[in-house]
Amino acid sequence: MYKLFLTLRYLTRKKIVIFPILVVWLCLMMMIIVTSIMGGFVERVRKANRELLGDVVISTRANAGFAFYEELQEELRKIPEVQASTPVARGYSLITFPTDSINLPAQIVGVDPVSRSQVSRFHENLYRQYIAPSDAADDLAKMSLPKTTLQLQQAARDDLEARRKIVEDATERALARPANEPPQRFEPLWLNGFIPLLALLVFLIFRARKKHSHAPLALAVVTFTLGSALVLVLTSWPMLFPRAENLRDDQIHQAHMASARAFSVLRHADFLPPNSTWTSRQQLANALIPKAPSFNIPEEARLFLGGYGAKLPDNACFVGSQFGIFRRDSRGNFVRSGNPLYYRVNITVIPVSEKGTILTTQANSKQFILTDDSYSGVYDVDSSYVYAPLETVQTMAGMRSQLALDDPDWTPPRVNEILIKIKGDQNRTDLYAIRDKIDKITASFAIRKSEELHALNKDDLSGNLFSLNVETWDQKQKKYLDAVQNEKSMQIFILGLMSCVVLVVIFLIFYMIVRDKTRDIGIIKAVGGSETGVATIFLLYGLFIGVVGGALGVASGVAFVTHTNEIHEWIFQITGKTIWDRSVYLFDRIPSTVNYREVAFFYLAAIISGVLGALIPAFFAAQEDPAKAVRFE
Amino acid sequence: MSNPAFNPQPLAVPLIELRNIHKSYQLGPTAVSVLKGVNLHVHEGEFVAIMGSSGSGKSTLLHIAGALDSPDQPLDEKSADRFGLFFRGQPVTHMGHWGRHRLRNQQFGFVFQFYHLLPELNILENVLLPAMIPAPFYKALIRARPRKLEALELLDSFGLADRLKHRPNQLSGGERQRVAIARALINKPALLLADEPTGNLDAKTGRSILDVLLALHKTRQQSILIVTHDPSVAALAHRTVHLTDGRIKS
Repeated sequence: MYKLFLTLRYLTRKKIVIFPILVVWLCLMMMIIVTSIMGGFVERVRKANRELLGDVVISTRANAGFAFYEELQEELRKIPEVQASTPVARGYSLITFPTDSINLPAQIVGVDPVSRSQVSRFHENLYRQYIAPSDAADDLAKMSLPKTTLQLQQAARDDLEARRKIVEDATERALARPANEPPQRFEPLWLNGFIPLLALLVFLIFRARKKHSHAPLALAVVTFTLGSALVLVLTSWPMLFPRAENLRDDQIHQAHMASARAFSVLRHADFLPPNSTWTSRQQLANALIPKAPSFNIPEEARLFLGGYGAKLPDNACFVGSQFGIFRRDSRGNFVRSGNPLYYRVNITVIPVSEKGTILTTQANSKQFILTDDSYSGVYDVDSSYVYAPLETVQTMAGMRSQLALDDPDWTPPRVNEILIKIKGDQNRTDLYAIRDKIDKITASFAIRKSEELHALNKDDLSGNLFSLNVETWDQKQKKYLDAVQNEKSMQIFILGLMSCVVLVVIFLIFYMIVRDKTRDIGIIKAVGGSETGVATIFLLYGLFIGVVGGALGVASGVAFVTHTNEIHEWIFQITGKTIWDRSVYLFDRIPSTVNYREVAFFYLAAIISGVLGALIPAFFAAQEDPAKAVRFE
Repeated sequence: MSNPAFNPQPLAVPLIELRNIHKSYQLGPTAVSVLKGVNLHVHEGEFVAIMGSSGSGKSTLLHIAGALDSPDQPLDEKSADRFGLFFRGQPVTHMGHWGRHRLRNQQFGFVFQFYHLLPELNILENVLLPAMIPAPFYKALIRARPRKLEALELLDSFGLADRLKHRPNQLSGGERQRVAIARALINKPALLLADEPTGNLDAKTGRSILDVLLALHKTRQQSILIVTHDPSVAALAHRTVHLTDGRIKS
């Protein structure tokens, strides 16, 4: 009873206790913030990869790909757990932007957009066909929701006009400032002389009062240091925080973005049936978003590229958003005001024979229209993939024979991968079990097919069927995901080492407290307190510090993590500075996932640290000789 | 010197008995012997004063008498029954750690020269502290109210009823010493051990503290062992023992 009572009294009535609580608090908050943001990053990377690949991937490392994929897909459809599958053909290519004479290496990926969207979020990643109309529906729903096509067209035109005005005004304001003008510096030179004078004055005044003390000199030094720091901050403020410039830049970007969205609405509205009606945001979005993604060249593209009479390429392609076509603003949004969509691009693919040899002499080149861009969230994909229709890519990459079926040299079409979507949300164990099932079916398919081909005396066509790998999405991306996970583990380890300082601080403060409380310990023992009782008081004290500091750390850490983006936005509004430069990182929001199991572990560690830090001082306290302690004042 | 007012039964077991007490302290390489075979007893209801000059070992003897300190084993003494502190005839060394804690808490009450109140606790809490020690949590909760009433009664009798929520540093020296006495009495100890209780007070305040002790002795027959170097304080006791050069000279 007295142990708890004295612990509570020491906690509430000794101010020094604030420091170990503060240390535990800040340390735990730091751990939670870092692990949550790193965890969020890992989670986002994993999610993006899963959404890109589906659940299970059948692939071959052979560049030539594998044949009979349609028959294999038929087999897969018989598995009850399989929801959908889609073939993918890949090829090495060079993309050329004729207007800019830019050549970029790219991986051309042949997909069937409909089945691909059933397996992954391919459709939802397309800007023109999904993201823009969806955002536009949001924009319009925020105003008064138009109910008919005519109303929508009018609303979009009005909105576009309003946005254009904002862009013009913001640009005008930005241009009104001469370029390269350095920010104004606040340089009151008199302050530089004033600070030493002030320090001297402080010294003289206090010297007159306390002649034989070091206090006047210390005060003068403090005055000089703080005064100089203040002058430095005052004079450098505009250089440190170029607020106005950044914010104006940001305003222009935002207006550009909104303008682009308004244009997108108008573009969609013009092609909607004139008698369409809708009553909700969802209905409007459904009307604006195409039913299924496609490589069809939209009418508007024909208008854009020179009217209905213009000769247009037959093929369309989508490019990754991070290809370098779009600039990103400081908020991470792609700046699309100078929309390069509907560019004509030339793509050259290096074909590979069914034997896997590169047919350099037969490089296939075709002109495409760039009709959309895809943002998957996986940097490698978004920065190097060009999506084109499956058959086109197969043909260009030498995976689809152009010979007649009855030609003796005819070979069946090939692909590099089959992506598979499994029904429902499978846990890891179930997913691995299904993968094993698919693996067996694939292996038996390969055997059966090779036997059939052997019977037809066409053994050479069964090549690569035995080299198929069946992997789950995370096995497929293991190297990449493990690297990110390792980075997180390493950061936690380093932070954990740094957090050992908590133990040291608690130990030092408790050691000071025990030294300070020697007499009290003697009194407690004199009135009947035992060694164990005295030690328990200090251990409980440490426990409470861990519990209170930890609780504050958990509360503030979780609050910070769950509002990271709001705090970041607030800092941006105040200072004009971004900490998380979203034009560099993959994600437009700072990812964060609070793992409550980790939080609970850290909280427990904080409590244990409190007790461990107090352990040795508590032992010393218990050993205090009461007779010695009470002898003197 | 003895006061004829107190005549204990000749065969009665003393409340405490100190047999052949030796104590030395290590000061650097040399051992300084403070007590050299002291024998002393205090009977129930007796008021005994220990006098001696500074450094004569009075306080050390008091601490040993109150089981706050342990005596050294005499070199020529092998039997534990022939030296050390005996409480009602029982050797305290046989009681073990817990027994000694219980003894200090239940049977002895200490009053120190420098009051030794805990600065983080208020007056009432300081007085109640010894009462909280022996009881487990649930018992302490049950007994909390009666013990609080006892503490309030004690403080009221010492004229401190209006200072309950004050901290020790808000009281005068005399008031602090009265609080210390109240703390020593809260568990109704068999023996009150006072180490120069008036040593840090002016004459008038010191007298008032002695009046309190005398009143306790008279009204409750409280046994008191007091250490002092002031003959006027010692004169109030039934018996005074003089400690000189580590030995009793009376």
